[in-house]
Amino acid sequence: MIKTKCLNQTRVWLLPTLAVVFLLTALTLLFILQSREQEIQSAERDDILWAVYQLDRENLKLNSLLNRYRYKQNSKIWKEARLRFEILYSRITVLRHGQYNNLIEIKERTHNLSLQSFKIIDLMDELFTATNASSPEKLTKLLQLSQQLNRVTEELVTSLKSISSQINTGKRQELRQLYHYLLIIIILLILTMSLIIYLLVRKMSEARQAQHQAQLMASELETAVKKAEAASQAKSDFLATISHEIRTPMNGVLGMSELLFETPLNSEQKKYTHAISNSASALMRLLNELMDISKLEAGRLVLDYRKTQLAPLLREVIGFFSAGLNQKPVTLSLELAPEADAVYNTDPGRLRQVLLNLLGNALKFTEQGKVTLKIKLTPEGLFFEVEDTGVGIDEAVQQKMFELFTQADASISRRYGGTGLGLAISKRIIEQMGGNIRVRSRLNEGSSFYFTLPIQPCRP
Amino acid sequence: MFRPAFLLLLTFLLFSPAFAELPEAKGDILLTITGKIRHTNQQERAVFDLQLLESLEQLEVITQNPWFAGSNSYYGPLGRALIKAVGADPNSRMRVTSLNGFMAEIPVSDFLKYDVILALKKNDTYLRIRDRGPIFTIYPFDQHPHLNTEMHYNRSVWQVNTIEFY
Repeated sequence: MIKTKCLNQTRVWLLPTLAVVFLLTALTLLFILQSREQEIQSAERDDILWAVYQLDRENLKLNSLLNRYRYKQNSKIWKEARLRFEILYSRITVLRHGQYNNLIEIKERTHNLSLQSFKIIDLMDELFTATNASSPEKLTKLLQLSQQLNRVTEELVTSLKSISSQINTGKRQELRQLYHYLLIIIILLILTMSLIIYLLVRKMSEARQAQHQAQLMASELETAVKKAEAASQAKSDFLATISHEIRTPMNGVLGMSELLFETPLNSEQKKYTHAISNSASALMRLLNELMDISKLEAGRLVLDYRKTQLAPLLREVIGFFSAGLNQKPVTLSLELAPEADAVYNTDPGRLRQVLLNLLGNALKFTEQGKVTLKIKLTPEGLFFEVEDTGVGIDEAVQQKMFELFTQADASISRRYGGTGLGLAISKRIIEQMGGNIRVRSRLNEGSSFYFTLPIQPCRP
Repeated sequence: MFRPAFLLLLTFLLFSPAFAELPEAKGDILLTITGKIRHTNQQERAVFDLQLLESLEQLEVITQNPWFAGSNSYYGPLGRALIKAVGADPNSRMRVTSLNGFMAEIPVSDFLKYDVILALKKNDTYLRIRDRGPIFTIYPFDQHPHLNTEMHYNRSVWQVNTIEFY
C-alpha cells in the first residue's frame, strides 16, 4: 500500500521534472547557439582573406607601374611605384602582426606560403632601398620578384578561400547539429507538456464527475427527507382525524354519564358512574390536546384575536382551581399590576389555555406553600409569571421539558398523571403569539415559568 | 543692393570664429579635404602637411584593435578638431579614401561623439606608409567597447589620403 503510494508520488513528479530538464536543456542550447552567433572569428577570417587579396592586387599594380617605368623612365612613375611598394609592404605587416595570429588553424596551413611572400617582399625592399634601385638590371630583378610574388599570393588566396570555406562548412554543420538537438528537445518538451495537460484535464473531469455524484446524492437525500416529512404529516393528519372522530362518541359517553347521575342510583352504581365520567373526561382532555398538537404541527392553528379585558379572564382561571384547593395546604394568589389591568387585543381562549396549563402544572407539583400568577406591563409587552414552591425541575430536564410527550421524569406520569403534551402545546401557542416561554427552577425549591406577549393596552 | 549683402558677409567674416584663416601647407601634402567645407587653403580644397596637422588639437588614445598586437598608444589630431578647422557641417558625412583606393563612409557625428583621432604616431613613432601610415583613423575601442563591430572596424581607415565631405 505504502509502496504503491510512493510509486504514485514519483509518477506525479516525474513529468514536471522531465519538463524542467528539457526546458533547461533547450535554454542551454539556445545560449550556446547565441554565443556561437556572436563569434567574430569568421569575420576575422574574411579580413585576412581580404588582406591577402589586397596584397595580390597591390602587387599587380606595382608590377604594371614597374613595366611602365621600363618603357618610359619617368621619375614620377618611379615615385609612384615606390609608394605602391610601401603600400604593398604595409599589407604584409597585417599578415605578420595583426590579431589574425589568433587563427592558428589558418596560420599553420598557410605558413609556408606566407613565409615565401614575406621573403620575396623583403628582397624587393632591399632592392628598392639600394642606391641605384632604378637601374635596368635591378628593375628586371624587381619585376621577376613581383611575378614570383604574384604566383605565391594567388596560391595563398585560393588556399585561404578553401580553408575558410572548409571551416565555415564545419561550423555550419556544428550549428545545424545544435539546431537539430534543439528541435528534438523542443519536441520532447511539447510532448511532456501535452501529457501533463492531458493528465490535468483528466483529473479535472474526474473531479467534475465526483461533484456530479455528490449532487445526485444530495438530491436523493432531499427527496428522502421530503418523503419522511410527508409521512409525518400524514400521521398528524391521521391523528387529528381520529381524535375528531373519537370525540363525537366520547361526548355521547360523557352526556350519558351525566344523565345517568340524574337517575336514582345506589351507592355502588354511583361509584361506577363516577369512574365512567372521570375516565371519559380524561380521555376527552387527551383528545383535545392531541387535536391541538396536530393543528400546531400542521401550522393550522388560527388565533382568534379580539379585544379582551384582562382581569375577568384571570379571575376565571383562578376560580377554576380554587374549588379543588381545599385538599392541599397550598394558597393560590393573583398579583395583577394595576397598570396591566386593561383591554388587550389577543386570543383569550388560547391565553386561558396556556395559563390553565401552567397553573395546573404548578398546583400539581406543589404539595404545600403557594402558587402565584403575576402579571406586569413592561416596555416589551405583557409579562406573565407562574411561580410555585413545588418540587422543582432538574436542570437537565429543563431543556427537554417543552418537547412533545415529555415529562420531567418517567415516574411523574405515574405519580401525577398527565400526557406531557401541555407544556409543548403552551410553548407553541406562546410562540405563535410572538412570545417565548422560559423556566427558572431549582430542585426542591420551586419553579417559575414566565413569558412576555408583545401586546400593549388598547386605547379606549 | 550690393551693400547689405557685402555688410552681411563682412559681419559673418568678423564674428564667425570658425572662419579663422586656414594656414597654407608648405611641406608634403599628407591629407586633402574636399567637398562641403567652409575653410580652404588651396582653391576649393583644404590641404594639410604634417606641421599643419600637428597644429590641431592632439590626443593620445591607448587601445587595442584588430590590426596591431596588444594595446598601443596612438597619437594625432582629434577628428573633431579637423572638422572644426575645415568648417564642415556636423550633419554631413565623410568619404574617407586611402592611398590604395580603399574607401569608407563615416558620419561626421562619429567624430563628434567619440574621441576619434587621425593617428600620426604609434608608440611615439611616426607611422610610415608601410606601417599603414601616415594617417590611421583610430576609434577608442577600449573606452567604448560597443564600438567593436565590423562596421567600425571598416571605418577605421588606414593610409588615409583624402576626405570628402558631402
